Amino acid sequence: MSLARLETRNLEHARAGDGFHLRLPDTVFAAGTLTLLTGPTGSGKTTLLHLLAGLLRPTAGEILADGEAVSRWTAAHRDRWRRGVGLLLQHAPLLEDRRADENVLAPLVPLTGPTAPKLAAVAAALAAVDSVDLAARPVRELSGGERQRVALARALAPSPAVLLLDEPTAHQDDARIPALLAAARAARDRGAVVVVASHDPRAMAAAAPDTEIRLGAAPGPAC
Amino acid sequence: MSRGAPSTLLLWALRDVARRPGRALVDGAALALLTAFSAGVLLLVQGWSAGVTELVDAGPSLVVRRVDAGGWAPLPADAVELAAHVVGVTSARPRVWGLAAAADGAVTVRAVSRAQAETLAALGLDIPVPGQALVGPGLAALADAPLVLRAAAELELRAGPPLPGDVAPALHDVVLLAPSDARALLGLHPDQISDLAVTVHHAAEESAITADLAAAFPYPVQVTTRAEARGAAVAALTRDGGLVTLMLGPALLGLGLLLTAAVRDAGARRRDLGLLKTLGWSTSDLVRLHLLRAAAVAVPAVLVGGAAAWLAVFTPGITWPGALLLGWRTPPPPWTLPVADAGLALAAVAGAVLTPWLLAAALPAVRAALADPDDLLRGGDA
Repeated sequence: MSLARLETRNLEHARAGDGFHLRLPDTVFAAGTLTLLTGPTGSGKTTLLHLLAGLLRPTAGEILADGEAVSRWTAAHRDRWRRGVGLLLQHAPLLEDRRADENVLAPLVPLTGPTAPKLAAVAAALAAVDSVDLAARPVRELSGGERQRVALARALAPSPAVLLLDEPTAHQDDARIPALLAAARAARDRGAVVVVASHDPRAMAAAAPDTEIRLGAAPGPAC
Repeated sequence: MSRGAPSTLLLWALRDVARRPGRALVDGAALALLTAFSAGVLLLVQGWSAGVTELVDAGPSLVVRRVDAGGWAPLPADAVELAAHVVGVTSARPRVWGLAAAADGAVTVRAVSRAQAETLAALGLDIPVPGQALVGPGLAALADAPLVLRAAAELELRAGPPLPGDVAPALHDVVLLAPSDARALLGLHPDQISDLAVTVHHAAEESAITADLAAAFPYPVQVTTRAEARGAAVAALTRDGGLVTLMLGPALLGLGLLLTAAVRDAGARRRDLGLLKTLGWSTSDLVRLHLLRAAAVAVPAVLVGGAAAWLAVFTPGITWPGALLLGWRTPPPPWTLPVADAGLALAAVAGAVLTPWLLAAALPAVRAALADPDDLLRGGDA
């Protein structure tokens, strides 16, 4: 999937019950750019990433991918949309009964083509996050930081057109952060839309974003 | 990249199965046993049905028996002449046969007729002389030993070796005697016979001449057509079919328990389903994964179970399936069920086992498809 621009128009997302309400000014995420989303906890960074990934639907406004209203698509079409999206979820959920390399392979499994190139992509993604040594280990045995790197490798493996990273440095040592953000920049350099959500000052310093969007504090609890 | 080829998906599914070998083994063994049991019963009944049909078709067009107030009665030997004069009858053959008690239960005894003598001669065997008995392959246990039979009289005979296993089905489970011995045993005078085997020119005439045939005798007779003989066989088959249904009850209960466990197991992976949807797996992908995972266990199991049933029923010399499943006390004749019929029976059983199994596997994926991936992830393993 190739994509020139991802944009939001009059985007709003409200959650019943806790009073959370995200409003985003019209924004364009262009291909080949890295956007840094910042803001305090509860400001809506994760929600915006989930909206862009098609996991959530906006309550108002829309999300357009090269002019197509992704947010209006049916669930089946949004499933297909996510094939082109590499998403690092905040808590880095993994398939707990599988090995690290199998978790990285997971988004490639339903795609056409032989298995060997997919395995090569897995190896390359693990190398990109400096985690080749984790490949054969069961993810149950991994630390929080290691799990997060495996999840990041999983987001990178399909070479997605849209890379959405939620707090990619939250569990990492200072020494690892430059390599992880370098992987994000490499995705940007090959033409992907990259959006990094973080309130980690180390990430903000090392990301070298093309654009920064600061979300305001939300009235409700953390999302 | 686009979607489609299942190669990596198949490897992924097989890896899933391999990660839980104990569960796969238990499921596979249970499905194989269920298939073998169901297919075994079905093949036995179908083989029996085909055998009976073959036997009836090879028999006479009509059978004439005399009846009186006490039930069956011997026919006078001149009944042959009376039947032969009926228009449409091409031949009338007297038969001497009946039931007699042996040490292990009742057996059918027959006087060797001319036709059977020819059959025996073709096998290189002589017809039994007075005091001698030939036993069919189904009664091999009585062979090569003194044989005491009791009916109207008691007769001590010397049984020779059993007839070869490929003898005509009509001779499979009978004791063949010399006509004089058979008459003495059954209490028939020399001028009496048990019944008449009548052949007609065309099958369509069988029912048409029954009235004329019955009217040709000066005493009451019952004329049985091939169609009526087949009807009696069907009645017996229906009775056994009821038995089969009863026997399949526990097997179906077992399948139900397996399905419940399969659905529960798949449902416990809702969080994983949500995660896979988040990673771009479509509903179709998830359903295919579940189907492949279930098929990886069930298809080999059904093949093994079906092959086991086939071998148990059709391998010559194996008698325990009939004894175990249908209570047969003597070895059945070699089955001659056409391959297409047997294949259809196996396919029906395979379908009956595989269809609910695969549906049970796919159901959680379909349900997950209706849920939002975000909800599945937040819902954890619930």
